[in-house]
Amino acid sequence: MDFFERQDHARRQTVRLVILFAISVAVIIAAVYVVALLIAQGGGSHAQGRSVATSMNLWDPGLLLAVAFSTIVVIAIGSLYKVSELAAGGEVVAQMMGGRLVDPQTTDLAERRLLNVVEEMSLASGVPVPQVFVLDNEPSINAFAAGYQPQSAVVAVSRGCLQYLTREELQGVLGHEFSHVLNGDMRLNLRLIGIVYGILVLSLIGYFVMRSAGFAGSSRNSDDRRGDNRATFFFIGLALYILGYLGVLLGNIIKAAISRQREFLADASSVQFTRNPSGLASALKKIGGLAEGSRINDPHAQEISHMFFSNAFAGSIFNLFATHPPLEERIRLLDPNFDGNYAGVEALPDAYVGLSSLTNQGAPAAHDAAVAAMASGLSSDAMPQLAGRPVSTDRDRIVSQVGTPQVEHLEHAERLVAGLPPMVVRAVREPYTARGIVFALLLSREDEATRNQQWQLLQAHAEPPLLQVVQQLSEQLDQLPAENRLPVVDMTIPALKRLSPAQYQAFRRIVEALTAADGKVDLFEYCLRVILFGYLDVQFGLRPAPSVRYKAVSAVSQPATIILSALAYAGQCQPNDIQQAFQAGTHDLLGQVQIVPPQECTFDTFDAALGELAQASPAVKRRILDAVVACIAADGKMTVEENELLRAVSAALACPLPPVPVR
Amino acid sequence: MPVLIILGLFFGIILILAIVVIGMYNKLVALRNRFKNAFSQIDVQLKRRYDLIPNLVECAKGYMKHERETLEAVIKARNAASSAGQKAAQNPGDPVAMAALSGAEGQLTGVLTRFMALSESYPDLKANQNMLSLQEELTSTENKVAFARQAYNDSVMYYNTQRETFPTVIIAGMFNFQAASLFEIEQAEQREAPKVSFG
Repeated sequence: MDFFERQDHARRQTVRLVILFAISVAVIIAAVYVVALLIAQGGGSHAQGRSVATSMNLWDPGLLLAVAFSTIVVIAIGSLYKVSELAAGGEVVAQMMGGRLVDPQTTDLAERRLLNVVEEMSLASGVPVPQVFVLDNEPSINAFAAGYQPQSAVVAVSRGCLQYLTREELQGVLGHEFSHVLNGDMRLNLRLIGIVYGILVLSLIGYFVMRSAGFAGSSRNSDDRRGDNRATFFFIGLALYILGYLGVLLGNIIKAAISRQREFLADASSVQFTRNPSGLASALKKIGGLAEGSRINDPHAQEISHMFFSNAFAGSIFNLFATHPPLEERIRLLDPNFDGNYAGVEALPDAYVGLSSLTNQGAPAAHDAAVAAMASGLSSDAMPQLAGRPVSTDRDRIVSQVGTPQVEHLEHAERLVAGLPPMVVRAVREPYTARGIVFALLLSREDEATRNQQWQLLQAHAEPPLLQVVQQLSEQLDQLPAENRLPVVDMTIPALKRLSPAQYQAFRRIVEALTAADGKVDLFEYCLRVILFGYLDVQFGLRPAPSVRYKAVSAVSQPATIILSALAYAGQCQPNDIQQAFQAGTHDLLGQVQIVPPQECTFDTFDAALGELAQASPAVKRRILDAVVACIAADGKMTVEENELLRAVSAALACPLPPVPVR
Repeated sequence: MPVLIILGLFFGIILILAIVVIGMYNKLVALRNRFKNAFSQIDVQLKRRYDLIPNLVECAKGYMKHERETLEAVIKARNAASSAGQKAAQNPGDPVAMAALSGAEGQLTGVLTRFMALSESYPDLKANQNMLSLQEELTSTENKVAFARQAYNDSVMYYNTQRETFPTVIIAGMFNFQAASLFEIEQAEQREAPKVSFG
């Protein structure tokens, strides 16, 4: 199962969820109807002293309609409200849980290690580095990922994770969370919360009505009619309260059933990612051995219970409600020899906290010998040699890697970070200097005149101290191998997310001015803009997150033609080669189509086309990416520029592509 | 049936009201968290600055033997600012804490400027590599403080505006959302300080 299938699978789960949910709403409506019937007719007949059963008319279409309508409206508004609240981003969820944003410049060893692991994992999987939160009030071992899409994802871990887990175990846990991000589970998770919340509103209203009827007008000598009405209101409230809670119960069963399956999938993806089952297994064993286990104390944990790494509540005999498969079952799948005995767990001494697995000698050797030799041979000064070499390509391999990072990507990312000058690594983590990184990357390396022009722009619009930073950084960054430039941009994203909206606007204007300084936008500049603005505009609310509108290739043939034409022009110079590359891309996707003339392939039309394609379904995106790779690889080689363009397209389509390793 | 219609209307109104109230409340909480997070960025840089200053003084001590008073004043101002910073970090946006911090920071900046101006007249000290790198580090940290301060003030302004506009102001009053204070360093001190030392 590849990335696109898993995404589709998650979407199908949503469909299944909606059906199950519709059934439970129907059950609730039926129950409310019966209650309403009892009150409307029973109450009236009671006054006339007749037997309720004989006079009851069970079929009252008007009443049913009224009940169904109001119930659906209540649940729908409640769900929409919660979903829209959570759609604001994972930050909201993490803060709701009492999470503290880990400062990217932290000097605390355990936090530093956590951030390093997260950074490497995101680079390896091609998603922007998420913001990281620590749940300081939770001494247990647990974690969750939240956010509607990779752009707004956050990762949160409990304090216990920092105290008890080694680097390998942390990798296992975070690999599990990253799989949730990559598998499209977060959207599903938020919908689950929204739906259950909608039913909960029903019960809250019932509670409110019951309370106000119970306490309002407590005077005993009020006339019978008002007393009667009050009793009626009280019973309606009570009934809604009970029914609502039954509905929540039902909703939780659905939630748990879907969640359990996704957990196995996430465990499997985590192992595929880190290729180190022992890390994840031993993290799970530590949960078993720890007195607090994976319990979460925060009262909001109930709402997001299915998003955690492991059960947030003490084991219950009702497996129906367990959001996660039993611990032992998960461990046995990873470690068949597990004897079921959990050893006691102690906090790690500070000295053990390994900051990087490359330097961590005590780490279990999960890497095979060849890879280890490669890692040790590749010191930072060996890296520039790889610059400018055409990157070999294998089109099936590239597309199958989308959203499916492998251990070599993780190692590639670790080496990449280790190979960066320390000054650059420090700079990407601070909002102030992260801007300098982006500006320095945009300074032209080929054309002196353009560079001067860009300097003038910076002098006019950026504050003087920053210019000095840019100067220093550009000396370092100009030596960076070309294929490492976009990953560095990826690394700046969490720091840039901490700008204030006004600061982001100013930053964005300078970036636009710098890219347009020489009157044209080159490929790298364009890709940088797509990646940076694609992620940050959503964060700062300048652009809504895309939703699926196109489910067939035919619906996006126009924008796809523009993209493929532009790619053909970008990659080739000879008319014949252009035609050939274009044909290679369009043949399987669209059949016979005419190439768009070059004057219509501007960055504006390209941008608009990407925006359209971003709204395609995963299956359509897969075919588009296939076509893009075919078009790029038509001449049998992929240059660094083409590689960057591929990254930009995949970022715009929200199909996280691991860095294509250079061999 | 009329009972049901009234009931329906009643539910509807309560529901809409509840959702609006919850929405506004959550928005305020999110904005408050945002400016508190923004303050933590300032806090990191301020702490780094407070850590650098004793090193700077230690380095200058050997050269500036006759400026004991100034050096002590720097350390004193640094300690005052550091404790004001700790208080402010516990409760970012609190008017009293923020006023204390900006006062203490203004003091510290003034004293530091005087110290720097004085150190100009000690050529040996000026040429000291350690001193140079410390100064450089201090300046870059101050730039970062200024930038983080701007981000913090932006988010405070946004929160305050949201808090004061109708109808959010009702919710803010009900749930006791306090107005947050900007973090401004008294500019007058900064500008005057060099004049004093040269005069």
